[in-house]
Amino acid sequence: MGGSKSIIADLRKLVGKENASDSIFERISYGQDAAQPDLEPDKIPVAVVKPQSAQGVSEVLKYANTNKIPIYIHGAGTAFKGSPKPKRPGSILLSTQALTSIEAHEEDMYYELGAGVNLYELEKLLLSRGYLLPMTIGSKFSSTIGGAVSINTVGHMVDICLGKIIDYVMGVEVVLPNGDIIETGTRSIRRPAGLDYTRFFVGAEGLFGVITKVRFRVIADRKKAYVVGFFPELTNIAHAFQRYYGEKLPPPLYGEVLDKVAAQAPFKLRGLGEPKGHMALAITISYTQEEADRQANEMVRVFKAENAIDAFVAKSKKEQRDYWDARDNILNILQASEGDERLVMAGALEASVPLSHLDHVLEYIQTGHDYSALKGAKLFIYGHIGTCDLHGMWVAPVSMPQAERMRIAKEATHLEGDVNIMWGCASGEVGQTASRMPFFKRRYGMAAHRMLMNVKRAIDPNNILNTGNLEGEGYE
Amino acid sequence: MSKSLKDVIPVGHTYIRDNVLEKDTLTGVSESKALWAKDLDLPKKAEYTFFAACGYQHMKYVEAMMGALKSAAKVGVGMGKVVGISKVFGKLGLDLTSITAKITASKDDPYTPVLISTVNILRKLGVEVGYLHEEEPCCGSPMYYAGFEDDYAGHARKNYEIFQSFGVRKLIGLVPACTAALKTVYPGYINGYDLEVQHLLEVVAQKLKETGIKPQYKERVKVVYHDPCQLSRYLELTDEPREIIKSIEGVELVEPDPEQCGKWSTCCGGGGLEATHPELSERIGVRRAEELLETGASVILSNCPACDLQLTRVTKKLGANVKVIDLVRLLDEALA
Amino acid sequence: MSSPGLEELEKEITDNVQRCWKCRMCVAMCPTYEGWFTQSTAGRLMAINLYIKHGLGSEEELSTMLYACTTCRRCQERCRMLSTDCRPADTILKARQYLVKRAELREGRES
Repeated sequence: MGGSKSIIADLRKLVGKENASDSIFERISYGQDAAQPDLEPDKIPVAVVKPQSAQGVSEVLKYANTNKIPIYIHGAGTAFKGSPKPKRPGSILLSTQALTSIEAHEEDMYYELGAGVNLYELEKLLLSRGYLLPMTIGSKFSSTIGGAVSINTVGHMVDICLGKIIDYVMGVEVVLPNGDIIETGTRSIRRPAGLDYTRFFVGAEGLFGVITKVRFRVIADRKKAYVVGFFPELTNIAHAFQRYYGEKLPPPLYGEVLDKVAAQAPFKLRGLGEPKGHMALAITISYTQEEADRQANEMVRVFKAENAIDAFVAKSKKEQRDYWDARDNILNILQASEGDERLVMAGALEASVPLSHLDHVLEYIQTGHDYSALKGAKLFIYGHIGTCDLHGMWVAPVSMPQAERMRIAKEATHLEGDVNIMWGCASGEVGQTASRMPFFKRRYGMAAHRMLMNVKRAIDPNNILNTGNLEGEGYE
Repeated sequence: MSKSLKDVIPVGHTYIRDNVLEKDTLTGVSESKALWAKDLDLPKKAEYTFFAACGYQHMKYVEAMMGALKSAAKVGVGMGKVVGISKVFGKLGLDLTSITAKITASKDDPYTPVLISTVNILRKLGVEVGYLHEEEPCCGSPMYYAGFEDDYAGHARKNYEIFQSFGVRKLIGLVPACTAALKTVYPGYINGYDLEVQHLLEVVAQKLKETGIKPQYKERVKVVYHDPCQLSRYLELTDEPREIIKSIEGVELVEPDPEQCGKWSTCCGGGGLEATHPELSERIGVRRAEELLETGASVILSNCPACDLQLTRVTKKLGANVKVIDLVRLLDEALA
Repeated sequence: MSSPGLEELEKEITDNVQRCWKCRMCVAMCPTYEGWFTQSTAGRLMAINLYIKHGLGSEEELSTMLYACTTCRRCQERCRMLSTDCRPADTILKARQYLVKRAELREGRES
């Protein structure tokens, strides 16, 4: 196998000159991600390729498989838990961003989408056709459908309201590690009962194949109502959702929480004044506005029963947009400081826990644990409480020494693992591999992990796809 | 392996910098800045000074220059070489842009009338302005954005002295980039900078409210407004143009996607990029034109010479059935 | 080769990029983005940061990327509203000043 010079030449022959790059900046940028921007020079990919078709993807995989070159798969590379980053030297970074075909089959209630279709563009298109895109991802302006499907995430949305992505994927076209292009699933809205290997690839985090096309079921757009509440304690909000579900009321599309200190910067940026308390934001949906409004009024009643300082239905489009954006743009928190005391994110936690334990988890991540570095840092709490998914962000001033900041990051990951194990769960938004592998092994045990490694070896005998992610390399 | 300036900075930028430093204009063309105003009776000293800037006056030259550069590029002469040829011509006393332009001052081009319209509008709204005529300096902004900070700082200080020598205290600017520079960039380089800078649209919006005048356009028309980057994001003026447009009877305003207008307005790719990256500039322009055309408007309004030029060129290239008009021209006609 | 002015610029640039969270919100907003990361704000920021901190890449590559920016500032507004306000447009401008000042210094001109 030749050195990197011949790899780029070979790749250019396979996908076309303009679709492969070995520029140092191109390669590095694809080798970093939001979770850990530090550079590991030896792990920079040797080339970045953007095949223009499934056939192109197949050629690249055949080449990599023959020459045993690791391949890391990107849509837009916005995943949070270390999965997009190369774990081995000498890799090729394969992006499916160029696979942007869109074919409408509305008479059969689906669209066929290239893996590289941008989520924001897709959302706009579906809306213009009277359909709702059943996922909301914070990075939708950059992210792709292929990425979302490979992690089986719906982002902010409440799973039990409209389901997870797998419920909408009728089939995929996928390229296997040896270059074979296969198709899965059905064209009928009644999906195969029994063995449907669509499921092998949706949520597989790129371990078993490269998804190149998705057959996506479309659903009618809904009517919405927006509920905003402010509470004295975070546990009030937990109790509110426990009560709401306890009364067997229909799940909202979104149930969000933002602690009152975290809310200050985003509120100020949007002219919303000082937050009256910890904010809860719910969006109820139905086929009719009357029903959406009815559910919203129920939510207001429940909020008030759980000590809300204020709870109301937000009527104007501007109010709806502003409150949503304030919750969505959590990174505004990091703006509120300058110079050496400027805040940077040091550690992050995401835990999807049982409904009846929401309040216990909230207390645990604030004061119940023993991690000293975390206790010394400032914690912001936010997340998708309506789907039982809580986020914690620990921030530190930029003047803090690197080693101390790394301690916070490590402890946050451990605490995340602890929470999931203590309450028997796994995080519900950004995937289970790479940086989450140590927790995964504790949670499910080595027997389960061995089984997965066996499956991996069977489908990808040369271990070329997202090498190291299932092993948890780099995160021991 | 010592790299000089010309190896790392695109030659289009150094060319413009030299024009500004040597000839005090964008394109190096020495046409008098007083020409467009010769019939308007504008005093040199007044409470408010109108800063006309180079943009509108020189767009016709830029247009011709770009045309010449592109034809030269077609016969294989690279951008760098063509710009070099232009300099040589200049040294021989032959102005390449004037030669290729073959347009007489102020009457035959769509850009200079914008300046005349500006004065008309201000007068109709009860505002009299002064103008420095041939003494008006070039604000120098293209140099700043190209990274020539030291040259820019010296030039800005020199300009401030010129302003002071004419007793200039309050400026009303028209070209967004120049106005933004005078308002937000100059203070950082000049100690005790005390000039009050407003953009024309701020003044117009306010005066329309005060006077209660109701402009009326000659026909019913559907328009879309393209927010220039410098106006929407540097000067943060997105409401005023819309207030003005909505006040004109007969004009219906439609907007593109909310992520593509106001402070999120998509850049049209005009201005400096045309000189340094003409093909990229055109692709960006086409993308923006498509966004604007999607609204179904028959008129595209803007308020920046670079945007006007770029959108005119690009919509023509696309063969689109749409007119590109500067907001100032529309308003002047509607106030007649 | 450095001077106080250059060192200060280097610090300003790298401080800003350190605040960049790589959320990629700016990428979708950049009018010059045509599919490759280096055609976007985030790519430009990352490049100048890596050049200054690790000496990666070359001045020509940097220049090509930095001068393809239209200075429209859409990225800066996006970062301010949706993310950490790392001032990407200002940083790109500072990076241009950085290249100019270095070249001027090499040509023996006093800054």
